[in-house]
Amino acid sequence: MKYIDPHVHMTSRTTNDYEAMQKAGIVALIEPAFWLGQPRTEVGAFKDYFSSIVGWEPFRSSQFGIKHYCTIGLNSKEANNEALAEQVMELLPLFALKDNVVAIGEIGYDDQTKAEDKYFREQIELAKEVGLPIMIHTPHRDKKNGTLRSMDVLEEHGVDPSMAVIDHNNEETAKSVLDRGFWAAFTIYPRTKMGSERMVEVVRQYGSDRIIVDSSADWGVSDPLSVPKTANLMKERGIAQEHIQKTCYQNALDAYGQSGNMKESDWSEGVNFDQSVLYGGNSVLRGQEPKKSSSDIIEN
Amino acid sequence: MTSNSNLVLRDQVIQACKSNIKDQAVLSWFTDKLETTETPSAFFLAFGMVNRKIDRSSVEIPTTLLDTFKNIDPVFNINNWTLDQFCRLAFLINLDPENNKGKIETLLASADMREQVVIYKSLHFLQNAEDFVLNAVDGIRTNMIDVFDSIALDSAYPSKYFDESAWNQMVLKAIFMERPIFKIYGLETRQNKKLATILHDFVHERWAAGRSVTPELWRLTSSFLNVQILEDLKKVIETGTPTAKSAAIKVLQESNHPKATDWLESKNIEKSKKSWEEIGHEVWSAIEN
Repeated sequence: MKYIDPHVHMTSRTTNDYEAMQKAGIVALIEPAFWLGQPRTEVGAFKDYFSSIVGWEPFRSSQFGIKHYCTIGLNSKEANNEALAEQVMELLPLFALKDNVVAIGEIGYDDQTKAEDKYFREQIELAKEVGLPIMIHTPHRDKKNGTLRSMDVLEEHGVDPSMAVIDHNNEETAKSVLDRGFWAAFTIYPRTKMGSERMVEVVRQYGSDRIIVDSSADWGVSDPLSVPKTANLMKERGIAQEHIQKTCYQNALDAYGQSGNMKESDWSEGVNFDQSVLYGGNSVLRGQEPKKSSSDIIEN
Repeated sequence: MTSNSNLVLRDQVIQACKSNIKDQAVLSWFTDKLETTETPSAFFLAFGMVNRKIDRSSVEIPTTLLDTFKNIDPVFNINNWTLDQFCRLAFLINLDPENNKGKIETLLASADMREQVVIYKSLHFLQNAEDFVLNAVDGIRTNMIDVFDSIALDSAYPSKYFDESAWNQMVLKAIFMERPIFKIYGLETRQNKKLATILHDFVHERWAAGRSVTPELWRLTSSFLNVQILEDLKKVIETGTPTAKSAAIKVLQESNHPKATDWLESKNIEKSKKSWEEIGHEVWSAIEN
């Protein structure tokens, strides 16, 4: 079984994670632009971060045979520093058209302030202008209202719901998101978001149309194997294979494939470097299989 | 290169792009954008949009253009370019050399991997190619293989413009990154004592760790053969792999060092007839398998 993790912050993860993800069947992932656990204070920090998720991180990922995509956007938390936000907004068009960018995101609300609202709307317009889908971050606090308000604003700006993924849903928000025609993503993240058992029940209740599972694994206590683990649990608990395939692979591809930048052929023949140069890639992957003589021996 | 031949190149490249673009709508987009990229943001947007508009097919160019390219860079190879890359080259050489540096540096600072590759590959064909030496030297600090290769391999730019320390850094890094160094242009003409010494130290460091070195690196010592290197090469000839052995014999031959010549004769060792390119291919096919 192949999986896509359509929301995972790999800049915070180690090569052990990449290796485990590859072994678990993850063939492609999406790294949404987000905050880094603490607010940035300089626009250059954003530029280097964006640059890293369109350049270095895709390379790192390709060494493990996983195709790396990203989304570009000013996240809601950092939108509250308006002086900085203005400068970041000027950077976005420079990055929105890059090769591996599949959406504008993750954008939306955190505290639902006036500044958040302003930059959310400006970025919706940017997404429309460049023809990219939108990835919506829904708030931790006052989640239900934040989610409804996000959808209201998207509709107000004339966004086709098939072009927007509402992320971090729960049992309370799922129905309205699906009823209004948006993609509904669920984050399997211990304690603060969803557990995998609850996810199984969501799929049992709603089926698999427009439902997407992701890990949102980042710098916090989280699990980059959330998608394959949830898929396994679904199987164990009798969910039909078709629903597993759609929620853990196909729907993400259909939603973000609308960008024109994400295609199954990107990974079906194996993920190589740009010029199909394999030497260095092989040498890195050779290092993945240390001789098993003793667990304390690190390969020379 | 005279600036005149660069102007000829610009016009020929634009013409070649146009005849390779089959879709009429894309062709008019391309023509239009070449004429309206005066403001930086229009240029950035057009350069970025190439990714969406133009496919990654191969490029066919007339021999007149190939000759123009080879006048600037003798190892230019059109098979290393796809149409989207070639069209981005057109946008870059279309910039006014009086003020292209700021724009290209801004572009580099926000470039994705594919864009970095094409920008570095294009530098040699800019009218003011020499103005970008520090950018290229900075570029080889990358660990992204494609980006490194776009500067170091199949291009005469580094051998022409890099000073000795930058050149040495690039060659050493190519060896560390396990790149096919036979694809670096100018290895013989840019040989220097410092590089030979660093490489010789490197070999001992690797041997001490129980690791091997690429046999290709010995060719960079042939002009600076000394007794210590000679002893090491004897060891390679007596105990190395067949490829390493051919490489070591070839270095001794090329060195014209009397002690090397005497030793080869005394041991009755058959001459190595392989080219460095052939040896390089042997090394890399062994790694690939």
